[in-house]
Amino acid sequence: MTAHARPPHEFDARVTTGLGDANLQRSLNALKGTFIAARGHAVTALPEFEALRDDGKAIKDHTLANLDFYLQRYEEEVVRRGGQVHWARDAAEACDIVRTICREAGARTVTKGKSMVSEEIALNDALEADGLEVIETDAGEYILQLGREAPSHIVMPTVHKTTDQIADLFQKHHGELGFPDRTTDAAELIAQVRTVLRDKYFKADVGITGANFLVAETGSNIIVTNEGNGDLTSTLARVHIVTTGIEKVIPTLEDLSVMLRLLARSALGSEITSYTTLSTGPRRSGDLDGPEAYHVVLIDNGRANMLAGHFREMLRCIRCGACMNHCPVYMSVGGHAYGSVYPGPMGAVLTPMINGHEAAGELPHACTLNGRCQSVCPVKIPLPDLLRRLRHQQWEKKFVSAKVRWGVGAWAWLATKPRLYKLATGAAMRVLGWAGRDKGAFRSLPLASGWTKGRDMPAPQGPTFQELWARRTRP
Amino acid sequence: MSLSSRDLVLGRIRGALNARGDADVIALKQRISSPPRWTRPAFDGDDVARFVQKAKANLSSVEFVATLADVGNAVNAILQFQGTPRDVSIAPGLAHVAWPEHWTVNFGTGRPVEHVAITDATAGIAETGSVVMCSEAGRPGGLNFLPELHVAVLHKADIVHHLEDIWPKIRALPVWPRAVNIISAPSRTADVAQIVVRPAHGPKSLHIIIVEAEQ
Amino acid sequence: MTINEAHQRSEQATSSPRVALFVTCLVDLMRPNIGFAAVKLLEDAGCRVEVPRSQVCCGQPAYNSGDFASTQRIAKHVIDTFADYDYVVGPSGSCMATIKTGYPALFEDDAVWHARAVKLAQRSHELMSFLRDVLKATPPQTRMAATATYHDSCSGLRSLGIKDQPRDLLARVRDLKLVEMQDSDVCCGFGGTFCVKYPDISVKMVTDKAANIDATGADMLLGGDLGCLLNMAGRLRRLGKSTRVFHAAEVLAGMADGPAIGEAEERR
Ligand code: SF4
Repeated sequence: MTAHARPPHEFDARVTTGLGDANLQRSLNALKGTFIAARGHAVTALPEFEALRDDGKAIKDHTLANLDFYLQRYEEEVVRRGGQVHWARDAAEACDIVRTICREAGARTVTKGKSMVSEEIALNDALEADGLEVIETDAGEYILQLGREAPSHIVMPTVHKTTDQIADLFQKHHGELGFPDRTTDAAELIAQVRTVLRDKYFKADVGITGANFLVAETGSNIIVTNEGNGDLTSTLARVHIVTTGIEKVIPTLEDLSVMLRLLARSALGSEITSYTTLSTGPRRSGDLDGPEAYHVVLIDNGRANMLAGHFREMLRCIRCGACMNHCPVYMSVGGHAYGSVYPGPMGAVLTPMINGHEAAGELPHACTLNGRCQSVCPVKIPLPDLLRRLRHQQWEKKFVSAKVRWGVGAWAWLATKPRLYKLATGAAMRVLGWAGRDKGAFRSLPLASGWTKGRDMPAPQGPTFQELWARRTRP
Repeated sequence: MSLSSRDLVLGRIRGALNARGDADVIALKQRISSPPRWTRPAFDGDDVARFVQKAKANLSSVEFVATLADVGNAVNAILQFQGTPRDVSIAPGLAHVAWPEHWTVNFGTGRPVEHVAITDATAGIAETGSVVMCSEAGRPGGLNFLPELHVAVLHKADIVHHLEDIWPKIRALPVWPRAVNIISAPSRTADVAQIVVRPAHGPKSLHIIIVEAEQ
Repeated sequence: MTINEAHQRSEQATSSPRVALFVTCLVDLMRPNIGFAAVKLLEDAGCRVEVPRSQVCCGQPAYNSGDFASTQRIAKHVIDTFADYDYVVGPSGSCMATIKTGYPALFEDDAVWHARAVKLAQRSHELMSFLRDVLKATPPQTRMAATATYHDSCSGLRSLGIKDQPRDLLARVRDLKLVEMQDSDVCCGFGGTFCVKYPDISVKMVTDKAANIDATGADMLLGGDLGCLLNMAGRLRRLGKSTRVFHAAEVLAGMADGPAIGEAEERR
């Protein structure tokens, strides 16, 4: 099942759920000791990492500035090697293209490698509606498919799930498949996945994968995995379909080398993943395996519109997940709280760009703009700046609540009127300072429940600095 | 339908970008044929030693043999030790090698149950300890992923320094392969509670045999 | 006065820079002591300090709410107010980051104001980095018998690169022991209006922060941004912790002699 735009107004409720979910909190905490720590080590171990970030940014900037050229070159190369390229303006068209390919191939069974863009376009729903058996093959995505849940992280989709929950799911679904006993052993659980899926790869008519990159020079799509599921999906099905955003293209294999070094370290803290695969067209004459047909669906779905202006920077994203791993908000509430396919900082930028401000709701606001995401982003996307610009769009569209507009507006008005400001604040601070002097802080304050719900409000010292400075007397 | 979408999407893209002259197109084509030299991780020392060290760090096992003809015995010793059935899939391109006679050999693509498969690499990468497999008639790609034990045969002379150094080798092949698999470690996953489990869908073990002799 | 003397005097006048203190609205309203500490540190370092009376706020609440039109109005007011000084210095990383990086960005489509914003940005500095990096000052030694831990406020750290500056300066304070907390560079959950718009997330973040502070065993928390300090002090107090919270400038200037942030007066 695919997650798409759950109602934005339920954001607060989802936050409450996330904060109260002890299992989730434990898993997120564990993440710090595993992948996040590993990223730190991998980055320190490579003195060239900063230079590579600059290179990666330059490569993407150059490609995006010439995107039409590189996409056409990519298309030519795919076609030259016997593949077909389809262009989809939006999610619905992308799904239709895949459905048509499946229908024409007489497909019944579809295996899928992990692909965030297929979540974005809700591909599984579309294919299942056509009566196809769709099987996610990434172990994490497979678990979520059994539980009919959405991923909560773009790299580690099951980060919110406990072993016990997975054990229950497998007992329910694998009982008839020769695994009657419940197990909580991670290795046994994964062994079940391996066994159950092995036949499916061979049975599959169509294998669908995403693409981490597309290389224009050769017409290749690149996927990186640790499991090997993507390769079995793309090699053993009769038809291989690649679903990908148009922004994934880069010029050459030399450019790819830079991006691979950045991706594995940023995503998982490894120098390189177990499998990096370049797939280019269908099987060659004489080949003993590989698909008979190879299709690429190039999906726009809001991306081309991001090219003009500041949001082009977001199209550099290589979906490594480092921004969410280092986001204290994501790490507090978990991915499902965002209610969007893409969570965390990159999701808070992408969701309004892809699904519109109505669907994204307050995602751009639920951030302290602390900038840790930007500081780890392998392609140096200024995420806080983009979030602020999205807030600006919402402000202009009057999406921001009247209460906030009024409060911010009043303060802004006062901020250019020094005399009025002094009058208004001087008296208030005296009163607060006097009222708070005994305790030093307030446990509750009228109009400040947002603050005092979880913390005291330190009392002001009394007279303002400006008043005291006029008399040169310290408080 | 698709045709008009193509024009529409490309039109949207062009609308957002600066106009391009003929000279710019020439420059872009040139950038493809001679791409910029980007930062590469610096490391010195012997590439073979580095390859071995990196491969082992990634939990592959590595062994040296003198010639291609010795690979069979080396693999046989492992099978004997592990008690694995002598039912071995071998890349058809290696059919000319003398394999142990008591083996049942499948020179073909992989089957759903595959204990051992032996395939040969186009290159090894010292930077990461990876082997590079290029599919072709004699090298079915599926064999790299289906077995429990994947044996990758790598000629010592094919070990290159950086990842970038494999591209000229592959570009020089008669046809660009359907699949280029850069394999750096056995299959694994951490999708159950972040616990690392080996294998996931691919091989549980990756054994790299480095052949010392020149081809 | 001989010509020589006159020359020397004018040398001295030009060599002591005219610095405008950007007090920041939070310091003005909540904790004037930080302003006095900043003035002392600047004067000790040989600056002629002035406090322009028409200053109010850098406009961050409007800026971060996406109200760019209001922010531009405020920015113009700030640019006018601080046009004539050698330097503009403030005891806050986030306010100075707004001036240094935000203002030029706000006027990207207005050549005249953009130029003025850039000019102001170049002369504007956060207090700690101004003392150490621009003036290369060594403040007169003060004494503070305490074990302190330092929280890196996000804007200062990531927009202005402030990390070692306060630590270097604090290392000179006698009897002050600095211990590092885990994740000192992770946001405390303040985030301006964020902390009241999303109180539950904010409190979770500041609770994590408080745990890290507590784990150091330090009896004092220092930082360079009053917003964050109010947030952390408020949470520490709610949790019943006795950690004393000061702005680093107060300690450096020897002015951490009164009640700490959120502390009652009779305590001392
Ligand atoms: S925004 Fe940057 S850090 Fe986040 S997923 Fe994209 S590339 Fe990775």
